[in-house]
Amino acid sequence: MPDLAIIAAGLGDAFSPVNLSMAFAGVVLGQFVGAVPGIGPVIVMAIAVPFTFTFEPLAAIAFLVGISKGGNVGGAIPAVLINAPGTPDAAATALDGYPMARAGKPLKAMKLALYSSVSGDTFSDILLITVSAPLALVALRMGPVEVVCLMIFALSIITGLVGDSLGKGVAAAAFGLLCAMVGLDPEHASPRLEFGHFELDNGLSLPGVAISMLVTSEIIYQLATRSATAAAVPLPATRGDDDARLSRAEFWRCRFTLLRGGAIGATIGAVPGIGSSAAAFLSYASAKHASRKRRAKPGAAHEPPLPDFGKGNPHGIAATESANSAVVGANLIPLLTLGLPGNVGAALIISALLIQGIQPGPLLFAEQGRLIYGLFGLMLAANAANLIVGQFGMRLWVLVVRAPASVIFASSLLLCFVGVYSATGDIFGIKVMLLFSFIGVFMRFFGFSVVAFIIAFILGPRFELSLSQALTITNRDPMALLAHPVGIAFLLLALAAVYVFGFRRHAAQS
Amino acid sequence: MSGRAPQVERLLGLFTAACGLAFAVAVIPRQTEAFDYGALAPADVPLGAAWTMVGAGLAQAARPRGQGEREAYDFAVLRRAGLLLGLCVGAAMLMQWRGFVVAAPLLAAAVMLLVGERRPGWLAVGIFAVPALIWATVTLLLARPLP
Amino acid sequence: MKTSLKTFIAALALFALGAGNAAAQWKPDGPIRLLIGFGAGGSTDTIGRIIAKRVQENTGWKVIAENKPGAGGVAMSRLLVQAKPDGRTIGMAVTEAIAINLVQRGDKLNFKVDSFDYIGTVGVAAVGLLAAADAPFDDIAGMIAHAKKTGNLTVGFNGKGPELITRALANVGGAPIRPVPTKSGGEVIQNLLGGHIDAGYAAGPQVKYIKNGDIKLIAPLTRDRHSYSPGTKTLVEQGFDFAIEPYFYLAAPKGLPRKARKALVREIGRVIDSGEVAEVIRNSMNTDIKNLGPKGTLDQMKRSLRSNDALLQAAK
Repeated sequence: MPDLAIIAAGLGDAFSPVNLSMAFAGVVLGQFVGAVPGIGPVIVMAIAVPFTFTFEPLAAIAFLVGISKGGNVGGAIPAVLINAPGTPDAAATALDGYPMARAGKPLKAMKLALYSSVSGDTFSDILLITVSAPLALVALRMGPVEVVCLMIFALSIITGLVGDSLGKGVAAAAFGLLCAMVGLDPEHASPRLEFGHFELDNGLSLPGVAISMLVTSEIIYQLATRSATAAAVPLPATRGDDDARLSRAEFWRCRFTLLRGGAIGATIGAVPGIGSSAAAFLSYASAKHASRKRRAKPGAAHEPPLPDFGKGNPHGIAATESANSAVVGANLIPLLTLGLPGNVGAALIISALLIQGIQPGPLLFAEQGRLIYGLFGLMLAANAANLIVGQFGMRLWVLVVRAPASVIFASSLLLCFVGVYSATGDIFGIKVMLLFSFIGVFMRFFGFSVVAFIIAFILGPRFELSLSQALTITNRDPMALLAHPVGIAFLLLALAAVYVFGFRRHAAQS
Repeated sequence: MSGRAPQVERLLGLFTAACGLAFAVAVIPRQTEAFDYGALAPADVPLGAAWTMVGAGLAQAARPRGQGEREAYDFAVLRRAGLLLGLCVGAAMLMQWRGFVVAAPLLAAAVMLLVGERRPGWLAVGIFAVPALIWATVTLLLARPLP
Repeated sequence: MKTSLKTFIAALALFALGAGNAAAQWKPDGPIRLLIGFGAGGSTDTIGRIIAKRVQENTGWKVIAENKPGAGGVAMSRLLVQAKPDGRTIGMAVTEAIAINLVQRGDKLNFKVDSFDYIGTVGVAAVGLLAAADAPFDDIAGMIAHAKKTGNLTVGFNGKGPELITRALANVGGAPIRPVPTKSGGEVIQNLLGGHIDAGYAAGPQVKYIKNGDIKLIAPLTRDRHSYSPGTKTLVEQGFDFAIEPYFYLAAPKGLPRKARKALVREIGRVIDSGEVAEVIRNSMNTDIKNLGPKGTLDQMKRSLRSNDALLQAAK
């Protein structure tokens, strides 16, 4: 049991004006760069890390965590407004957020995203603060066999997210997996599918592919299909009533979705290497499933009907934003207890800790208790800052997108070029981006799920690595799986998901 | 030009299967190495993905679906998108040759004119103000290079 | 919101430009680019960025750190060798990763060991072979014997060198020792603690766990023993003539003007010897500053080529 005096001292440090303003500054910066399509919070964190060496440790971490948390909230804004997520994590937010904004409720959609995000984040922060030590032990038991089964389950969820053609959806996912295989293979470090380009040794860059598939191709597709001289986001003439307000009852109705999203995000976040995009889609698929069940119940008739999923259902926004934000807090569990980063942002936080002489690991809580509780206090403060900054930020962005679509989309295209160049450091990255923009436009036009492609692309490398690990460890003996009941459970869940989302749904349609 | 949806869906299935097959029999074997040790060969997962594409494409060809609510595909959209992408490719080449400062305003101008923007004020914002703002933010404030 | 962001960034920028201006005879006619051969967030990235920042503060030269990740520094070296040798482009990478690529596919690369003017090294990563504290072996011989007994001994690795060492040990010992790929030394330690693998390699993060008593060092892969466990014999000392010595080094394209070269060697050397970089590298890598200088870095590079060549033969 940690010493109460240490906790009190840590919280006292957290609420010092300097530390609070660092967290606040980080959130402001993070929300801004998260909301600009093409440029993510990671680049800003990378620039900030060397400067944090001159800060006090707590202020340094507060600043970086602020950027990371702010970026998570900011990424949802362009997803809602122009269907182009600022970060891949917000890709699922666009599924319902954008239709809601098109229906004339952009502020409501952004508010719901903001509140869901902060709820999920706070949920997983509280989990981190209270039970991170036992959770870390559970995560330690998750070996390669369990992880590969979890990845198979996550991939099987794709069948629940594709449109009305299972064949096209699965093909899109398989192509995403294939693209994820470009580069050195994990076991032999032998170049694959590189066509002689050394630049591809580390694979097709995730920012390059994600930006082109999710943003560039969407912008081009929209420019090709709609009138570009009108405002980018049409707002209703009468402002203020149903759009601007998100009533308490509306939010309260999403409570189970939020809770489920928080739990899914926290679980995925506690296992390093799976990531928030997968959590967001898992949560989305399960909310969709739950809503179908709810509708089947006769007692649900007294509630006013909600739009379908994919057409502006608030549960879709609540599910994805609560889950992808819950990953951020839970990601710190393996980070602080084992020193394992869950994503690049977390890796940057580790390097900031390391240059301060703070080694994440089993002794961290004993040696740096005061710092850790200070960090926990600041994480909660950053969530509050997210709420405050978000209120102003979303109004600013709503003003910005009243400019004509031609200006907004042309500028976003330029930002994609700049973002990819900064992320990959090379003109080659831009060439990759253009190639995948072609593919993305083709897929959008012919109704192949871009989302299925992206999930498979993001999960692909970890799936292959875990598969290779699991095969080596079990010496390719399938019977060895019997010693891994958790893995078997995930495989059964995957089968159930394919049956429920894939075959039964499609059988019901025909 | 437009295409009736069910036929297009069937063709898409066949196209997908053909792509998968090309990867499985031609591209992947040539672009991967074989090893006599290890648990998972470099070609294993890519081949799995390629054959999945073949299977999914054939399923789509056999029972065509996925046109959603549209009755036909409007290929004019694809043509306009192709033109816009062509502009982006040109801009990338210009960026490599002459740099961001030359290429960015030209790309913005071409895109905006192509989609029908004619109001001088908005054109000025898109062509001059935004690229200048991006350039200033990235090179001056963030001290990051631009192409 | 916009103004507070701008003031903040402006403050950061001012901070970066300010402070200190040592008199140096050579002056770059423009900003210096420091190309870091790895992505954001790793130890090379951190060390490179600190060096860039300190050189800028000491000299007033503008130094911009850029990430050029890909193939363990090969992508960066390919760019570096094409840059103009005027002192305005320097690169940072790790010796072993470059050496193994030169050995394995040197014919396809546009550079060789002597394509660069070396500036110096920062330190050598403390890479070692580890096992969980309760593993039934304490040295390599014991590990080989244990592998023969159980029929499958798994060793987590990250990077080509450790993979080759694993397979070389399997060949030499005639034992079923199998390499398991991982993404980082941290992941190796996680799998060791969780009991999923039998042994594995890490270069730094193991130190805390060894002091804590959860992990033990079986053998350092460097030629020198590690300061945190001075009693453990190196792989070479245990009778297996394989070594991996990943030095972080800085280099410029060949043909630097003498003045520029002297100024860069002096200023970067001064920063490396300064307390701040020493502290960062000790904190993040659990190792000490070791600057081999221009000549020493070239020699180390050549030694690394030879040992990787031998390792590749032994692993066949």
